[in-house]
Amino acid sequence: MLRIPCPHCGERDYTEFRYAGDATKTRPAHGTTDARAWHDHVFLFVNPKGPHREHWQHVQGCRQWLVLERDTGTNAVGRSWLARAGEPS
Amino acid sequence: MTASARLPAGGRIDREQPLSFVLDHRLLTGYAGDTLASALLAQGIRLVGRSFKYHRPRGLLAAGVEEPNGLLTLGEGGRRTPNVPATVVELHEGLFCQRQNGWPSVDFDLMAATSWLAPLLGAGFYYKTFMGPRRGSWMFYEPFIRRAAGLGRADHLPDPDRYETRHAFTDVLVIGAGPAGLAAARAASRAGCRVTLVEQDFLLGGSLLSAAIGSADDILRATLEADVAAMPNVEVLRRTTALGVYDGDTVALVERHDHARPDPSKGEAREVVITLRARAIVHATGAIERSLVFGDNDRPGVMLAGAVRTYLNRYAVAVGRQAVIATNNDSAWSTALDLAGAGVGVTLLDERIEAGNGLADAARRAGVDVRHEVRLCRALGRRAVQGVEFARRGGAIERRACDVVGISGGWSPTLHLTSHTGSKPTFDVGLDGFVPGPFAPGHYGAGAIMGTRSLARSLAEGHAVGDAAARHVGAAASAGSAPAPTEEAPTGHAASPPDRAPGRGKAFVDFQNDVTTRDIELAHEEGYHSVEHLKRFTTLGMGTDQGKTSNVDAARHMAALRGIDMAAAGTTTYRPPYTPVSVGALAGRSKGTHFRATRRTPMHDWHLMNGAVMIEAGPWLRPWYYRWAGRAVGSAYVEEMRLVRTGVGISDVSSLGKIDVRGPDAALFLDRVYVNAFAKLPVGKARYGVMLNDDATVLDDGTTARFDDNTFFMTTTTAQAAEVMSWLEFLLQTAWPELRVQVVSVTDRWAGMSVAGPKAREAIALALPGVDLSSEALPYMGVREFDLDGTPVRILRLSFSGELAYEIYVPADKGTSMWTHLLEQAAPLGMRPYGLEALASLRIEKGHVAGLELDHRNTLDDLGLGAMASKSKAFIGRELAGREALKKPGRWSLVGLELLEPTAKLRGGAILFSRHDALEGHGRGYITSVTWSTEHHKLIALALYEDGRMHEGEEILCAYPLKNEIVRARIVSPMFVDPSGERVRA
Amino acid sequence: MLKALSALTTPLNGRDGADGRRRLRLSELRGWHVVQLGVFTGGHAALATAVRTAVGFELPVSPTEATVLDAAIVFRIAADQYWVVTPDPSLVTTLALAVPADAGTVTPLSESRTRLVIEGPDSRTVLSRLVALDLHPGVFSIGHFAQAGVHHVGGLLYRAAADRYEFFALRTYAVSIWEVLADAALPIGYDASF
Ligand SMILES: [Zn+2]
Repeated sequence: MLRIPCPHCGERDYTEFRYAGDATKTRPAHGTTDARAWHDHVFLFVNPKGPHREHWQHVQGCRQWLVLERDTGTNAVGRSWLARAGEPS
Repeated sequence: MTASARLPAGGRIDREQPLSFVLDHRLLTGYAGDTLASALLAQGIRLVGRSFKYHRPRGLLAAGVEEPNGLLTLGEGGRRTPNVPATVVELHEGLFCQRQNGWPSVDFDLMAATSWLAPLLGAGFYYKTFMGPRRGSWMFYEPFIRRAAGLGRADHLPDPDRYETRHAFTDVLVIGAGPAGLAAARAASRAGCRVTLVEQDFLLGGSLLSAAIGSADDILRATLEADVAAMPNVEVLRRTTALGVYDGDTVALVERHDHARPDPSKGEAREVVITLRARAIVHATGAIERSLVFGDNDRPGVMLAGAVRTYLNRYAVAVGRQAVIATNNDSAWSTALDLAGAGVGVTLLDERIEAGNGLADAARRAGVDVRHEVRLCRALGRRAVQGVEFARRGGAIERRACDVVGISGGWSPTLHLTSHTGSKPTFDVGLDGFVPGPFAPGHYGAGAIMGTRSLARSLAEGHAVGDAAARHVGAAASAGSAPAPTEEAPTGHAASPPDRAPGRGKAFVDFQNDVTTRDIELAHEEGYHSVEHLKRFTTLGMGTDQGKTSNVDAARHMAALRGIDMAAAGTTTYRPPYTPVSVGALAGRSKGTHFRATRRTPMHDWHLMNGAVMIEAGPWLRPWYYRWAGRAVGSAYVEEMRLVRTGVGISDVSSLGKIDVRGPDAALFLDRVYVNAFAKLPVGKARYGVMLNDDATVLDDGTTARFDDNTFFMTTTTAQAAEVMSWLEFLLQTAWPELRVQVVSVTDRWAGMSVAGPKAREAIALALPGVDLSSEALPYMGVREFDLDGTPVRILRLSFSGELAYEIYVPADKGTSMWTHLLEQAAPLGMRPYGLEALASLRIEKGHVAGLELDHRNTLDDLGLGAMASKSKAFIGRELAGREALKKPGRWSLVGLELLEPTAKLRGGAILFSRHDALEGHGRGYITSVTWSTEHHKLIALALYEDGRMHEGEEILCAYPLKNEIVRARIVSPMFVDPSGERVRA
Repeated sequence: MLKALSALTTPLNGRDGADGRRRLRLSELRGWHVVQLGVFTGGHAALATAVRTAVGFELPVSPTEATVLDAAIVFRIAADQYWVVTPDPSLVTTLALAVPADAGTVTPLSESRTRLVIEGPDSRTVLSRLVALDLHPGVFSIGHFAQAGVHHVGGLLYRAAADRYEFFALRTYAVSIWEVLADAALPIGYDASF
């Protein structure tokens, strides 16, 4: 049972969350007409083995979207922060 | 039947508490404190089963979870549980058990005579015999093999017992309550932590429980137990097995209550699965003794030396009168000494040149006949061991009569759980066994799991890691000093790893799977060299015991054949569960109506009381049809459709997703999310909208109404409600946090009801006389919110059915009241409720897409909605909608179908072909939704078909291979009803 | 004219467990209101001032500890969202009028939730069957709250007193949650009433 630190609620079972994948990419600004930029954003992923950043939402809790550091090789969980707030310095 | 083997005194049994139990319809007696295994041995019952493939007579090998042979079927009827090791069953009054895999009985097994099958049953048998050209022969052999090979039989009745699951949290989890575990729990609790100590046995003490009552070890055990019991911050879970260690240091435990004969009618659980989250874990799981490999080493009476001692001291059962103990290490000497002390004649065969300090003197004093540098070659006897053959290396074979043989091939640390965490076992030459690799932070090991055989060192290690675990979780108090043994028992390691003994007979490595040395040699000859291949080729290490006593011997045998060392041979991967767990326990209470949570609309009870037949729709329970319209759905929904097409009906639409979208930027936000424009939607109006995913496939559709400049009321499909809510939150929280918008799910706040049909306006006018429903005041797609005696009411004039229709929303607590009010007031117009089947059928006739069409692969154009996309603003999915692949011909698009054969059926999921196609493969599309059309008096359907609209008017074939049906249908417009939309604007 | 009904209408009164020890009471609390405050980016100061001026209390900072006042209990349910739970309907109206439209939103949710009360010495034991939260008294002290899944449905659990927990369940799931609570309580024995 992966345990995810929710920046708002504290550490919880991952079953309270929904997963939305890669959080390392920046979404093209709304209205960007460059189809290539959208193509790359929607379809191209690095999918690394090792440290990664992912979007998760605490759906059964505070409903906040967060960025979670997770090692895809070991499942070790690192820091997390609210997606809207950005990475803490 | 042999005489009782129970000693007149001693043991951890309560002679004041005799317990009756039934074995194969024979009434037997044991005592409280017995296991089923010890009770059977005490009664002189040696033969506990027949082996898996060869039906050889088998007796108990062990005294714990590692038991490969003594598998019994417990209980009757729905409680029947096959393949339970007798060694782990705590005896209780009325226990009912049967031996298995013997026909007509285990004592007299005719199957054992079917030895003509034996040559077929060697390793690789399935692969070699039934793959390739001779595959057909399986048909001939299967019935014989199925009957001959196998273990206990499960039943098909529902299990009447109650199982539960629960959540738990702790600072320090200690797994195993042997000396090291007790010392660790003692230290961590004294340091001030919350400690959970789990022990699979019903008593605490682990290896100390096998020491004689009153011995120094026994006194130490009592002291440690009292120390731990004195700490209020320790939760001790007996009869609880740690099944697996998972991510996040979550441990699955199963707690058993069989001994207390739980009564499900009182809510008492038979088993409880506990999901425990620990901040630190101490692994003190001990070690399991290995057997020795020699000819006919499976004869009943050949047992692990440690088990012989456990039965003697813990259960006061002397398994035999004349014992041969064979070993390659010091631990078995304790067995020999204790047996001799109990008056059993003992011959000790040690493979080594000499034993540990002081052992030889002690053995001589006790009258044990000691022989060094000899190995067992073969056990004699058939249904019970009657003697052994042994020899010096290269020497002549000697015989010794005996009725029990205690064997010890060394000890394997119980590193299953540490392996679950990813710690790879490493081979320790000094120990001659695998030990855990490096631990992850917060994990610690102590005692026999680390290869430690000395009691004093186990205690010191346990104390040290208990303290370290406490520090890891931030404890500040002192753990005090470590407990110390009063007397140190002799210990030592295997001086030489055992090698293959000469001798005739089958030499078993894995008793449960009937795998012999010959099978391993065969695997080697066939090229199955790695331990993982060996396992799959021979089935070695599979089954209920998962090779706890045999894996290392097997690897050693293979390593010798390959000429490599044990470190290179390695081990197979350990996976949860450590010991078998019942599926019922894993499910807990999540079964039947509690399988998952169910949603009920505010009018649920009214539906039940007024003839609704309910149906599950996702998590929702919704009225499927009402009995007023018919006895079965097939006739009822058509009647309900007619009501809506010709009069007026009311249906519960509370399950639609409802989202409040508020804020100064709400209009801008909706403009981005929907393909069509919302920014200029006037207050008091609603608009049908479609959302795309980023990849331009359709995500959802629905209607959104504007109640003031900053306030929108969005509805989504029932199926996609949660998905859409998360998507909106995602956009606002990750992509556009600068937008001043709040989205709040209000699905549960509003009860929704749709009043539909040509008489809908009249019906509402009767119920809400003060509301102006004229087309001027409330046109098609108009919305209104008003106050009804303090209750906010929302009316949205929109239609799913294609008829004049209104959706009425009131706060959920007033839903039933509004619903009944509408029905009562509109009764003169004949208004009645209609259910989900009619609702869905009406929309099919109208050509509205829904969840069945929206398969997350179709685009706007595929669904005929391309014209909705705004040309003047950006929206999610716009850029990728222009992708080449989405513009290519050949895409499947929405069409209507009408059946051309009056007596046949259209079926959802039918595969569509053109009349010239060969009827094979995936076809050119499929049927998504089917209904009877009250307008056209025939079956119609919506479907997705290759370049669909280009084929309108064409006759095609609908294939439904599951029923061997091929029917003809014609492609038509999906709008079967009122294509110009006059009715909804009436 | 329209009559209000609770989601829990099928009475389960008086059911109890095996030995009728009655160490547990399950009930529904009625006659209360909840309103959700949402704050726009940059709107926090204005909203906090408006709330202070209108109803006289501060918005809590802690995401796990409720602010308990005479008139209301306030929960910070997300970084930018609060719940005000109150028996006083006028408080809801006052807040709705007070919050500036460019600072945040006020969404009435009273009818969307069912407030279940689990009380008695065995309340924690029963909850441990259903919710993956550490309810150890030293960790989940009085006044603590958590939004978590009960039977995999999100809700808000609040520890109101030593042996009293309140669970704000989504109304449409309330019967289902009630049933799993009652089932989990079976071995303990319980009184139930609405
Ligand atoms: Zn959270």
